[in-house]
Amino acid sequence: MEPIRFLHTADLHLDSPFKGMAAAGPDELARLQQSTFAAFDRFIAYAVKERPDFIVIVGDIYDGEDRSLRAQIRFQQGMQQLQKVNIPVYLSYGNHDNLSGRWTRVSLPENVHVFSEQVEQKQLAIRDDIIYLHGFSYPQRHVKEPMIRDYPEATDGIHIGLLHGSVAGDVEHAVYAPFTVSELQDKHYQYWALGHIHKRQLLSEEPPIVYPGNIQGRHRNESGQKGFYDVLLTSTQTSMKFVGTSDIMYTSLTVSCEGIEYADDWVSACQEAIDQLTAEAGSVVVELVMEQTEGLTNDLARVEGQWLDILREQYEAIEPFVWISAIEWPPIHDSVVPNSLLEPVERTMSSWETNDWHDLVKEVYSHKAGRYLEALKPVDFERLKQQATALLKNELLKES
Amino acid sequence: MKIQKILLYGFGQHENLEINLRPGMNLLYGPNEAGKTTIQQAILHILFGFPQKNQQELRYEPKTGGKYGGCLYIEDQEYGNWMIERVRGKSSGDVLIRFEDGRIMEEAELKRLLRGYDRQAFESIFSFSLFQLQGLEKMDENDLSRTLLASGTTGLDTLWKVEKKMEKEMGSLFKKTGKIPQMNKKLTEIRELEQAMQKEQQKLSMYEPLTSRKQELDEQVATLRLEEQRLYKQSEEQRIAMQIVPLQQQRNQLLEQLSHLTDTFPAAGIRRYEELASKQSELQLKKTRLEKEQSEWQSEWIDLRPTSERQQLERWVTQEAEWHRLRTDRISAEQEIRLLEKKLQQLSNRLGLTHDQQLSIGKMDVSIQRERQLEPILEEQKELDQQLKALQRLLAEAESERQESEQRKEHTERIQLTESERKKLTALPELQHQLAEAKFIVSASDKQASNQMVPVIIMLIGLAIGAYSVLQQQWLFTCLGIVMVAIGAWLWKQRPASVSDQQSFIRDNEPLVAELERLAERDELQQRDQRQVAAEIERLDYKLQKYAEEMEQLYDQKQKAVKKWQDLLQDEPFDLTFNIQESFRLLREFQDAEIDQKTWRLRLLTATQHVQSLIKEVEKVLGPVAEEGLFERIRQELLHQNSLQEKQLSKQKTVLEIKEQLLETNELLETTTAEILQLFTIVGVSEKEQFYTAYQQDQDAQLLKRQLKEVEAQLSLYNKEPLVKEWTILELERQRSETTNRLQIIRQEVEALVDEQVKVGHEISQMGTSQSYSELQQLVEVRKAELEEMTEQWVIRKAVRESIRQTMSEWKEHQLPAVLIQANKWFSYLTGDRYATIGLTAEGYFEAVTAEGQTFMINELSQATKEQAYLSLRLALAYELSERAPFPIIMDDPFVHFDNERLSRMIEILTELQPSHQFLYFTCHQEMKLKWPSEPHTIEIGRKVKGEIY
Repeated sequence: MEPIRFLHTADLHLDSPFKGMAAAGPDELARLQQSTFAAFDRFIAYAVKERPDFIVIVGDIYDGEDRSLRAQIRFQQGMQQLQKVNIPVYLSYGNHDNLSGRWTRVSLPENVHVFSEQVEQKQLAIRDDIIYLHGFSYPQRHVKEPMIRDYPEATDGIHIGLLHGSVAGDVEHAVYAPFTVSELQDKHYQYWALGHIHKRQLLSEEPPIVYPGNIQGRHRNESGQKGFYDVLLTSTQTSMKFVGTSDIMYTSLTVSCEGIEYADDWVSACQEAIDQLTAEAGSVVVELVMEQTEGLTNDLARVEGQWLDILREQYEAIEPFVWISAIEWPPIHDSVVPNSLLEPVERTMSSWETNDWHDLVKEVYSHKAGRYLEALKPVDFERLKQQATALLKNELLKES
Repeated sequence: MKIQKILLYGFGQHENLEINLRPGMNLLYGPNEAGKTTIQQAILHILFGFPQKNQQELRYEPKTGGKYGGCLYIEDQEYGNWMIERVRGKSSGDVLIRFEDGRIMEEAELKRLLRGYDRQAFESIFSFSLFQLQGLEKMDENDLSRTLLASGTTGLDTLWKVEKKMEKEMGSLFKKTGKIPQMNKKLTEIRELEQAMQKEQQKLSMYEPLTSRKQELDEQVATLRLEEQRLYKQSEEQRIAMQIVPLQQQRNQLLEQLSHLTDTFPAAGIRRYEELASKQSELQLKKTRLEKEQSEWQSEWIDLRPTSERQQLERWVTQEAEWHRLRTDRISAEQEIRLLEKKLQQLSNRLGLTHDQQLSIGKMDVSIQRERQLEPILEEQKELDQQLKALQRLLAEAESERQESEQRKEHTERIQLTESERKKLTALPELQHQLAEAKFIVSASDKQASNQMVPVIIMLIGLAIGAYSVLQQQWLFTCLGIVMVAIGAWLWKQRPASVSDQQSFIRDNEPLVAELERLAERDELQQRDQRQVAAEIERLDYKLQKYAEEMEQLYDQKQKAVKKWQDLLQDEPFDLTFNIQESFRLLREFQDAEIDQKTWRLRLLTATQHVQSLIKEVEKVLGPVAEEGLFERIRQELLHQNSLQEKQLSKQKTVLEIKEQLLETNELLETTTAEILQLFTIVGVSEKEQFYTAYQQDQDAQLLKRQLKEVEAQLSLYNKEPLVKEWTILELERQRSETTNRLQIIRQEVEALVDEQVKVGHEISQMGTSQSYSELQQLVEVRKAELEEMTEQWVIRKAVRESIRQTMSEWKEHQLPAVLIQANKWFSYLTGDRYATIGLTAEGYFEAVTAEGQTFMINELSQATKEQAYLSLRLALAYELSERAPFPIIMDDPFVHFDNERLSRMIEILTELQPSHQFLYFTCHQEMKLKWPSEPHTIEIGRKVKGEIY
């Protein structure tokens, strides 16, 4: 068997809106929204240059069931480019761009092969070898059945599985077409091309069961370099090369304020750190984490919102793009708030259970506003508690 | 938290006071005015600051004016032991807080060490006096309960304020039903955005129908375009036919017309004729002009002299230089003559000549020979004169010298010595001799002792020299030696006779001798002079005699010379004696000038003759002429004659030319006329008018031909001849308008379709690149994120508010009841179960309830019971707060109203509290310490406790 080379990508989420971008202006938003396309263009450019034998895209090409028309046309253009250089594309739709969605279809060129609602097999001859590709597209948003059961076991030839879903029992993500690693292994395929989870990960080496992650981070939980895999299958082994496509990287940056007292020094320290970061990573959305803030004048830490704006202004309308999403300050320790006041109140707050917290927020979350809010988890409550304590301290300090 | 030591540097009456305290009960005893209250106040002052000067409280500044302030040593379980010092400084005093481990703390930190208590809160629970207990009477239940509730929770107000603030902020963030709060606004915004998104989505759903519509349009447009093309072709054909038909008709017509016209007119005939005709008339004109010129020229006359005269003139002109030379010669001769005349005049003046003399001069012999002959005679004469003069002078000199000598002779005779004087002089030599002898004797006696040996020595030396010189044969020295011997011998012989006599002799005769000597000298001088003068006179006389002889001789010679001169010059017309050389020179000059003048006169004459002859000659030709302008005139005449000659020549040439031209013109005229005739012959006419008519006809024919050519050119543009010849224009027009109408209709249709096509295409492409939907989507996300942030703010505010509320109500509902239970317990124990409880009424007032269930308002109780109720409450509160505020309890004799039983019970309660609280009990009752079962730590306050601080 001659080596077979293909690209594995998933979760393009073209034209996806970016979450948590409060306070960002239209320019910044436009720049961000452009980034999924930019990442996609990089992917296409790579393919055109490297000429792999074929490409697999495992679901969530579009972000919404409504499939942004702009995204569809951009995708169509990308596919046309691949057609020109005769690269076949095998793709399935995932939960985000499931088939029941209401959208206007944009026809795709003939080199694109789409998997249907049922698990199906597609054949492809590469030189002397026949490649069998297995996969399905999501008929609707939720596919809770373990679709893995419909995948046939491998026969002769090379088998590659396309599966958009999550590992059964994963509490962090909602359940989509659940599977276990051993179930996949039992199919004896040469490569499992997974999609759905945006974090790049290798579930197994033998055979490779791979989440390539998405090609462009869209919020703070999708940090770091994003991209796809360039896979080389030979009869004996499989090698994979990760290729980065991120146009803008989500990341966090720790800034030490040691020896800094005044605001201007602090601003330049932050700038220096950011400049260093962009020199390495290019455009970023960055969360600054302050450290060793003891030396800073008190008012610097206490009006942090203002300083965030000042820092943001430094990076307005420049390339590489820099958006400072937040500045995290260490809690204030040196307060002289009388414990006799603070402690009982803090104690009261600490005594609250998750249910108490739910009761507390019910007023908003059961309101129609709740529709637009992410459900709160115990972790969030812990964070909120800390914030509330800090606020209380601050307020008491101001009042006394 | 316990006070270990109190140090007062200066406080009220206390100076340098040190009090060591123990945990548990400390009894501070002192009689009245011992300063107990001062100490109690000192503790509060040091901890909480000196009161402001304008406050009611006393500051206890030392009256002595010494150091103000003090220091407390505190044992603290929570923060570690520390000390606080407060001294005079700013109005509340300067504070120093130091921990056991040496850390220094800021004043701001003190609040933390005091657990957030201020003085008021501290006093309301931990420090009280009888007075304050008595003050209880004046409070109503309401005040009391508020005091109780507020005590120990100083920040309650603060918390309450914070709670209110949070409430307000929450309100500005979110309200369930509201539009103004930020979150509500944000929600509205999001909903609006969602609606906009829906609209956008609907718009985008038009994509598919639009695509099919576009295809449809494309097809329709294509068919219509085909039809349009066909019709257009047809209409074009018709249009061409319409153009061709009239052209053909025109051509036929033209051909018809042309067939009637001949075409024999020569090419450019009219132009040629007109050219010839104008040439003919031009030549005619020329001929006339030439003939006129010819006659004019011939009539003209030129006045020219004969050639011989002209040649003469030219010759004269060449002689002009000669003429001028002659004239200048004449002038210079005249000048020269004048000059010589003048010179002659001058010379004659100088020589002082008369007119006759002048005339005779010419015959005079003024040769050099003669001059030489005269000269030596004259010279001799002159020399003799000079010698005479010199001799006379010498004679005069000699005579004056003789006179002088005569005078001197007289003078010497006057000074001759008298006879008496001569006599005296004769005695002089004797006297002189005597005097010299006397002097010698005197001087010898003076030197006797020393000089005894001198003659001997001299003789010896003389011998020695003599001997020596004899030996050496030096005879000169031998002589010297002999002389010396002689002297020595002479000296030996001289012996002083009587010295004194001699001395007196000397004194008498010395002046006389001197006088005589002078006289002798004078006489001698006078005699010598006399001799000299006599010799002189003799000599001069001889000289005078010689001079006289010489003079005589010279006169003779002169006479001879004069005579000879006069002989020689006897014949001359005038006297030459005066200056023979000059006269000779002048005479010679005079003679020369006369000769020159003669020569010049001759030259003048010749020049004048030449000039006159020339003038005469010229006048013969030109008539009278002035001598000055002669040549001017000759030259003018010559120039005039030359120009006349030139004119004559040109005239002859012109006449010849005109003749030739005339001949040529005649020939040309003939040729031209022949050509015109020829033209007429070609056209077949004989008259000019006929020729023009023929020309007009030819022009018409040309026009027709051109028109025909044009028509044919137009026709040739249409390569296809019209298909249907039988079409009439009318029919064609009808058909054509029909086609055009149809074409127009189709075109309009196509236009509308294309418009739509473009619109649809634009819409489709816009949809493809439209960002608005994704922008909206992104905006929704942003708003959501903002909403989320606000919600978070709202939640933490609510959390703060709720926790404060809950804490406060917990205090109210749980802590206060706990205090009350404890207070009840102690109160009923203190009162020996007389009262069961202290409780709160529904209105929030305190009341005491007896064991029987009877209720009393606090102010209805007896003084002691009231105090006990109050103490119970306070202590219960302290007990409850012991963890948060483990302060020492300071009491100023609050138990005075208690009976023994209740007092001992009180002490039991205090003992129960001692592990957690330190007690400082100030009292003026000495027996108080006896009330304790085991004697407490007692400190006596008074003058004796005054100590030293190091």
